[in-house]
Amino acid sequence: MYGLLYKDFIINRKNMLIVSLAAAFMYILEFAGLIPSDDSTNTSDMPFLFQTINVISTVSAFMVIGMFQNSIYEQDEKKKYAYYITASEAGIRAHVQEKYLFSYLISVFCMIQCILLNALAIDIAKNEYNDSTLCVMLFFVQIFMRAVEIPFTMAFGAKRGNNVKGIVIIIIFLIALIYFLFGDLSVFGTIDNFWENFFKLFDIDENPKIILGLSLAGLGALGCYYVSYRISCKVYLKGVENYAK
Amino acid sequence: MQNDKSLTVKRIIIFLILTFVPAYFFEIVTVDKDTEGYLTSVFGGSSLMLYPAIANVLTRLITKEGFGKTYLRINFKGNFKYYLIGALFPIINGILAGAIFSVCYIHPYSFSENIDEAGGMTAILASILMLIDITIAELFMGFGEEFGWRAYLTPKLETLMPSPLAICVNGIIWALWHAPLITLGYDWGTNYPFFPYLGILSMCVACIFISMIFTYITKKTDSVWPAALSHTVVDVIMSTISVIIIGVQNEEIFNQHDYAYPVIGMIICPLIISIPMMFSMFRKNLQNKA
Repeated sequence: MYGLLYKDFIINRKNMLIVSLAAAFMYILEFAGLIPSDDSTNTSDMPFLFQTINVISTVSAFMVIGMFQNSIYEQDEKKKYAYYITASEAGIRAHVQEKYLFSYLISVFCMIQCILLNALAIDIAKNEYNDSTLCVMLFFVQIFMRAVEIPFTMAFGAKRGNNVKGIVIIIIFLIALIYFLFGDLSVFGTIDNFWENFFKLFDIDENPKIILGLSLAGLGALGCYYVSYRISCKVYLKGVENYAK
Repeated sequence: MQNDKSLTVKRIIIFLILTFVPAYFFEIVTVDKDTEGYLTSVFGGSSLMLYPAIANVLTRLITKEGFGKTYLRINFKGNFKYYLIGALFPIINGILAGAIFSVCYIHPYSFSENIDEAGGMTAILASILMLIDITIAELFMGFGEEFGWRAYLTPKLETLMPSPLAICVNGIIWALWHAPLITLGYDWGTNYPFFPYLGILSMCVACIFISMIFTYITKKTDSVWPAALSHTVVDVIMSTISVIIIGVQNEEIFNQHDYAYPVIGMIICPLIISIPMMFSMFRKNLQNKA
C-alpha cells in the first residue's frame, strides 16, 4: 500500500502544488484587500466583508481541492491496471486502501493550508475572527462527500461518480435555498451581526445540543468513510468492466 | 565509525537549528506578558508545532540522508493496544491529575456541582465529542512535533548514547524548545519560587517522563502515529478533562495553585504511568546486566 501511496504522490506532486496555489488564490486576494492604504479603508476595517471573504476563501479552497481529489481515481481507471493490481500481492484491498488514505491526506493538507492562511489573514488584519472551526467542519464535510462518492466511482467509473456528487450538492443547495426563502432567518440577525450570530449557533455555552449533533455528525462521517471503504473493496472488480479503456 | 558519529552530530545540529530558530522567533517576538506565554500571532501559534516535522524533512534533504526509517508507516495491525495506550494515557492522566488536585486543594468537593456549573451532562458530552473531532482533524499538530522529536531526534541520539540517556536528552531539548514561553508563565504560571528557572527545570523533568511514554509507543509500533495521537490528545483533551473534574467554579483556587496542577499532571502522573513502560522497554538490558 505504501508503494502505491508513493506512486500517487510522485505522479501528483506537481498537480498538488498547482492545486494548492489555486486553493490559496482567494486568500491571496484577501491579503491584497487587507494591506492598508492611506486614502481608503481596507477590508479589515469592515468586519462583515472581512469575515465573508474569509469564509468564501475557505469554502472555495475546499471545493478546489475536492475537485482534485476526484482526479486521483480517474488516473488508474484502466482495465489493464485494474487486473494487474487485482492479481498482484497487494491486491484490491491495498489499492482501495491507498486511494482512501491518499484522499484523506489531501483533505488534511487542505485543512492545514486553510488554517495557516486564515491565521496569516488574522495577523495581517489584526482581527479576532478565526475560522479554524469552520475548517474542521469542512474537513468532515469533505470526508463525508468522499465517503458517498468513492464507492460510486469505484463501481461505475468516475463519470457516474461525479454525477452522484452533483446530485448530492444540488440537494444540499436546494435545501439551503428553501430554508433561506421560507425559513426563519431571525437567528442570523442583520447584516452587521450576521457572522457573529451565525458563529454563535456553534457556541457550546449557548447551543450545546447543536454542538453535540455536529460532533456526532463528524464522528459519523468518519464511520461512513470506513463503511465506504469496505463497500468499495467489494464493488471494485465489478466496476472495472465499466472502464472505457 | 568516527565519521558516522560526526555526521550524526552534524545532522542533529542542523535539525536543532531548523527547529529552534523559527520557534524562538515566534516565542520571543510575538508574545507579551498579558497573554501568559501564549503567542499573540495566530500564525505563529498555528504553525509552531509543525517546525520539528519541517526540520526533519529539511535536515534529510540538506544532509542527503534520504527518507529511509521515517516511522511514517501506520503499522496498525497487531499494534492496536499501543494506539489505545496513546489515546488513553492523556485521558487517564487528566482524570488522575484533576482528582489529585481536587483532593489536595478543594474542600468541600462536589462532582455533581461541577457538572451543573459546566452546563450539565449535555454540554459536557458535547464538548468531549467536539474535542474528539478536533483531535482527529488536528492530528497533524501532534504529528508535527512527534515526527521531529521522536521519529528523528531520538533515533539519532540513540546512535551516540544509551537509549535511556537519549530519552532524557531528548526530553531536555524538547523542554528548552518551550523555554521562552515558560519565562512568561506558559503552563507553569508565574506564582512559584525561583520563577522562571524552576518552571524551566520542571518542564525538563515533565518532558523527560512524557518523552518516555511517547518513545515507548513509537518503538513498540515502529510508527510515529500513536505518539502523534497521544500528543494531540494531551494538547486538546487532557486539560479539559481535568477542568471538568476540578470544576470551572473553582477557577480561583486553581489560579492560586497554578504551579501545583502541572506538577501533578505533567510530572507525578506521567511518572506513575511511565514506570511500567520503562521496565518493558529496557527489560532486556536489565536482564543482560543481571
